Amino acid sequence: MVDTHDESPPDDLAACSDEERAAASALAAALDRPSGHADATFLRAVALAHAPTALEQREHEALISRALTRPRAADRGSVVRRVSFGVAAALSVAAALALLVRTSPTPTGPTRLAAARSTQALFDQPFQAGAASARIDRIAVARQADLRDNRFAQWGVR
Amino acid sequence: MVFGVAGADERSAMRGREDDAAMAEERATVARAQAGDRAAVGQLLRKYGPGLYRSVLLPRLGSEALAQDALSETYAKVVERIGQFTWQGVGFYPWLRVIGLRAALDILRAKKRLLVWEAEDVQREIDAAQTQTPLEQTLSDRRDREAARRRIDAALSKLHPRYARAVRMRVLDELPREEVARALEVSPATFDVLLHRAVAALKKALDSER
Repeated sequence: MVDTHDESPPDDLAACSDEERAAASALAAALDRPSGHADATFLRAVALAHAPTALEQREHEALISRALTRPRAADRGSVVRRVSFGVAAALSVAAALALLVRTSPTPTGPTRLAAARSTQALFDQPFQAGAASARIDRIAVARQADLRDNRFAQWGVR
Repeated sequence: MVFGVAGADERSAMRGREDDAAMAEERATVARAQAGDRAAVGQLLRKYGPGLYRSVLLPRLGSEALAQDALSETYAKVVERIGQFTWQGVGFYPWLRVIGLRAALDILRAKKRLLVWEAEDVQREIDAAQTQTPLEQTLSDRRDREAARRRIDAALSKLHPRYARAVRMRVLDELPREEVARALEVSPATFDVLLHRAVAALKKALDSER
């Protein structure tokens, strides 16, 4: 529970400075019209977290259209390469590159995954024989993180 | 009632068959998208995008403009990386949701001011996404929205009751300033100060939950 009792009582304006009054009226004004006021922005975020509004279909369609018509990074890269060569050579090389890139399932290169390895790095001190330890817990946590990273990498969302 | 139980079983089996058919259809759409069919990509985005925006991006980013930026970035990544998506029998949405959370995380990391969600909160959600994202988008959306609402309600419950009431009425219910002031039996100017102090207390309460 946050202790609010150390603050001034909410209705005790005698304890309110001119500075606080000015800040309070600035916030009141900012709530009534769009502005960059930090506290008004924060309260808007609170309202949207509590009751988020839907995205208008027209705006959604515009976002989809932009994503679908934008040239892929791989295609943009091939355009840059073309400039580096002579006109005749560039056309053939760029075409070959574009073909290669388009047929590749992973345009950003092969996914690097965490490999199986020793658990030695997880422990800086030897364990005492017969004593309780967190050995298995540490290994499990580390391997769980590897598994999660590998899955995200395979999903292409690392 | 024997008939009632049999009916429920039958309905459940029918729902299962419909789910399987929907999943098979989605898998075919994903395959077309991976083969370069952009209309199929659009079909997936139209199906899942609005829910992702409303339940995941908007509550976490707290601004329509930022949430639209994140959605746009998410779509660009989907178009770019659809070839890397591996069908794992759980549908397309869990993959899309993680991409969306990562886009939100990038935006939150670039921001300095306090919002309801911090970058670390979203990072934890991404870590949990692997095991905790329900297959069904409706269920996932409901959980995401409830999590956001719970966070606000929990913070408000820690405030002085008059502060909490001021925020609820003026911000959540969007009632006019004068009406809230009347309900709290103070002048509008006093209410302004009360709300200003409530904001500071609310920030403190949200911060204390981290």
